[in-house]
Amino acid sequence: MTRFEDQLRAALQHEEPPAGFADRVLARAAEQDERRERSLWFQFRNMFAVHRLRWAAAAVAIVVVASGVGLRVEEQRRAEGEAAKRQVMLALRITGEKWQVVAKEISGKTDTRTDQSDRNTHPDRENQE
Amino acid sequence: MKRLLFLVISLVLPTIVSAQEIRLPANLEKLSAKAVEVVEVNLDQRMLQLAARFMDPKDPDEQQAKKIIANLKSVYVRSFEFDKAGQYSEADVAEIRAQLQAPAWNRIVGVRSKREHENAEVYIKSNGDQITSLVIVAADPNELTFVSIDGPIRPEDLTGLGGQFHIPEVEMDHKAKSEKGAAK
Repeated sequence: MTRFEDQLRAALQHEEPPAGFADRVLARAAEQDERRERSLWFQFRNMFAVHRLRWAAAAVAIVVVASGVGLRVEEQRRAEGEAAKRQVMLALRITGEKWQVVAKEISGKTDTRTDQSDRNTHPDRENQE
Repeated sequence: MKRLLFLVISLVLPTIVSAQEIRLPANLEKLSAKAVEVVEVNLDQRMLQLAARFMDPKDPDEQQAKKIIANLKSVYVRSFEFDKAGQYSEADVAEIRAQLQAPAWNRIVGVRSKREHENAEVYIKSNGDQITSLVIVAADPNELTFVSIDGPIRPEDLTGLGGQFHIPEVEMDHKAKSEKGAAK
């Protein structure tokens, strides 16, 4: 057997790891994980990961509340508009009635009885009571 | 209810005074307590514009109204209806008339109907040919009405209200003349 073969055999010979080698490897890996978790970026990213559900829930809540408020405002605006419209129609009706009185007198054809009966039965007038 | 109405009138009155420059006498507002029916309309430009947006394009009355109010600044109406005559005095109306004096205001029509006991007066403010404000004071024994319109308005628009808004149309002079002509 040559000297080379002896050297090769010695090199390939099974050698037991030193005592506690595996523990030290695992401990170092754990230490690296811990260092990584302590980094700002990781914490920042993790924060979103942890709170993602809460953010989503908050966003949904904001959208729901904003929609509700928007609908309520629109509803109020519509009610205000409809009320204003009724007021305009009533004002113009009264103005028209009085203008017609003047017009009738000017034209010498006074017949306000028709006006009176119509006014007394008109729904707008009744609503004001 | 009447107390609430009076309170509302009292709160709104300063707004009317500032916007309209026509002071409604306190006595007139007190008539609310005696009236069996009170109509109170206070519409400033914002409310008129809001109302215009809600006019039904398919309703001819509302389209006519929209056209009339398009450029108006305010519309105020007070109408008091009483169950018996003599609930208001001439002095109540005189306070309003006193504010509608020349040169700012012109009384273009004054109607006194002995048959119907209905008096009506129309006052205008004008700028050239354009009427810029119009006030109607109408009084009969059982009703007192005050209408104030601020903004450009055409008499034709008001005449055009006849036949609309449940108001009977009035046959004007030209028609009466044509009838007379036909009778001859």
